[in-house]
Amino acid sequence: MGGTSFEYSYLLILVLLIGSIFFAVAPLVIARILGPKKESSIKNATYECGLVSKGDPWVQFKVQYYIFTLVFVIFDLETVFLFPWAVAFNALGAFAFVEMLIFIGILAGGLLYAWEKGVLEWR
Amino acid sequence: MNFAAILDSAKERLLETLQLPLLIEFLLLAAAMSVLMIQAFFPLFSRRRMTWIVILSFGFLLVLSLLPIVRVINTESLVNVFGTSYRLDPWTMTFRSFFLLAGLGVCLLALPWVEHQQENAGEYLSLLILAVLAMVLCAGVADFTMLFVTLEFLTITSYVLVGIQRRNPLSLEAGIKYLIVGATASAMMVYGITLIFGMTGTLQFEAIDTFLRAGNAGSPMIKFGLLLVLSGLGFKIAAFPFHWWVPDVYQGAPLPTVALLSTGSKAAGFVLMIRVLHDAFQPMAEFWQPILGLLAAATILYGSLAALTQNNLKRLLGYSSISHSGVMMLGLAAGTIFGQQALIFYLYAYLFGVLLVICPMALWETPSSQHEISEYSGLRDKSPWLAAAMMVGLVSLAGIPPLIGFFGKFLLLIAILEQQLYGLAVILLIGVGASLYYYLRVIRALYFARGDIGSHPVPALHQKVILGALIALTFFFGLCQEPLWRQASAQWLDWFS
Repeated sequence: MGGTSFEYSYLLILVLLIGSIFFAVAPLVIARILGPKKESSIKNATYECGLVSKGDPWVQFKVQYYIFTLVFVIFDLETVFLFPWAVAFNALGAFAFVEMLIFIGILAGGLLYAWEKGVLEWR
Repeated sequence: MNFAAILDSAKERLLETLQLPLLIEFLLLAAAMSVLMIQAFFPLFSRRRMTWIVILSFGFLLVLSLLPIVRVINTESLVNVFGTSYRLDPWTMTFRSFFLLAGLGVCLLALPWVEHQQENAGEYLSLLILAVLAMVLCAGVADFTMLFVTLEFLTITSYVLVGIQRRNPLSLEAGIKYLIVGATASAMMVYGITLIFGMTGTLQFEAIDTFLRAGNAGSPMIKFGLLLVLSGLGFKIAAFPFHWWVPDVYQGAPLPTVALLSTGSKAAGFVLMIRVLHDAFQPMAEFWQPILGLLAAATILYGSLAALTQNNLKRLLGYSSISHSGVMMLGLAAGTIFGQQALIFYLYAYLFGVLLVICPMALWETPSSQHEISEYSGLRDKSPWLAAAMMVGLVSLAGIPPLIGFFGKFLLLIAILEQQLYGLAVILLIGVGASLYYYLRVIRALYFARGDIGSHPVPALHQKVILGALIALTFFFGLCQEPLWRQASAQWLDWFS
């Protein structure tokens, strides 16, 4: 009965899905039905971490943020690869060490290039 | 230790180094990084000189890839690298040389373009080398992880190569279209891979083959997964239902990129198809063979019919490239080793033809060129060299003997006739007929039309030599196919031993 247990494990996911949808939707629905509605301009204002909101949210963001994000993602991912290597350092040996050196070398090359091109300077 | 002994040991070391399985790949990587760094740190370094250095390195690596140093690997045995994800067998080596040759050709093409391109020339060259590296890695793929990684490597570099002219809206449009299409294709392929992995429990081609041979070839889930993977690869080679990006991308991309997309990138798609179909899904041949046959027929007909009315040379090349993809897919539809060998021969033929057509276009290009066919009318009077090279290229692509293009088509025709696929043979002939019309229309403009052509650069001596060499090769391999056929059929390894 390999098939049934296989399907059964997916049934659990379905139950969890339904449960989580219910859990999220139910308070909204209940509040809508039961809650008294007294609207005011302060209550209808945009929520911004409890502070009084300032200005229009539709502002242009500086395109440079995107470069920073890109560089961040590259080095973030680098750590993803570095951690398993660090954990299994002794088991993997010299071959993995050289491989990681090449990997880090390529990334460092990318950083050097970005640096020289002035990408890291905020203008 | 005397001098002779030192020399001997040095020689041995050198041989050992040359036998490293990934030597060429690492050299490519080093070349790409150095070009990038030189460009960033020495902005005054002449772009022209750098291009020549890259061309020479491609030439060196091409020679290295053809050397019989790897004689230890005979046609039976193979070398596995990275566990079992990458394997170095005769097919890998054959395709590796092809990709390096394509890189060499595209670099030669890029020479005039790099000179009048004001910015990004170093990045362009570096990405070009990386794209070739990705293709070279595609050649030896032996499991689905590696397939996905190499394919993404290739596509991501290609996105940038397409959209590198940031100030040109056409180039940007082409880049974005290619990005969206490529991302969709990758997503479909990953979905297919998950289905295959879910059903077979492995990503290795060989293990999938064993699994299927154990009597599991009928599973609909695996069939669906295979179809999705083939669709993803179909985008790369521009097969029929996944072809619609081609004309726009070809029109917007710079000329060297067009050459790279239509030769190297397409060949990478085909080598991956060969790997997937031949190494992993051979037991399901009865399932995929008719599908590929049908798609090949549709691709040929669509490409040929759409090319008939094009007035822009780049778009014409795009549509004819779709049609050529269809012709090459016939080699896969035949399902035989001979068909695959004919496909590789055709890839070489197509490479020479495309280079011969695009090289003159690149030399003739001015910043305002739109590459309408009318811009080339009367090219014969202005520059007989360019007109002659273009004509030889077009005639070879159309498949007229004794040029190399004819034998490519001829071999594929034999491959499908051997399998009694007469319907496909008829469609191939229809495609050839249509291609005669649309290629000869360009030749008519080159030779018999009178046009008002503005001032254009005149080809220098070394460019004439390059064009002459390409024309000579097209004739030579058309008249004497033996060396190229040996190369295409991966027999050159025991040729030396």
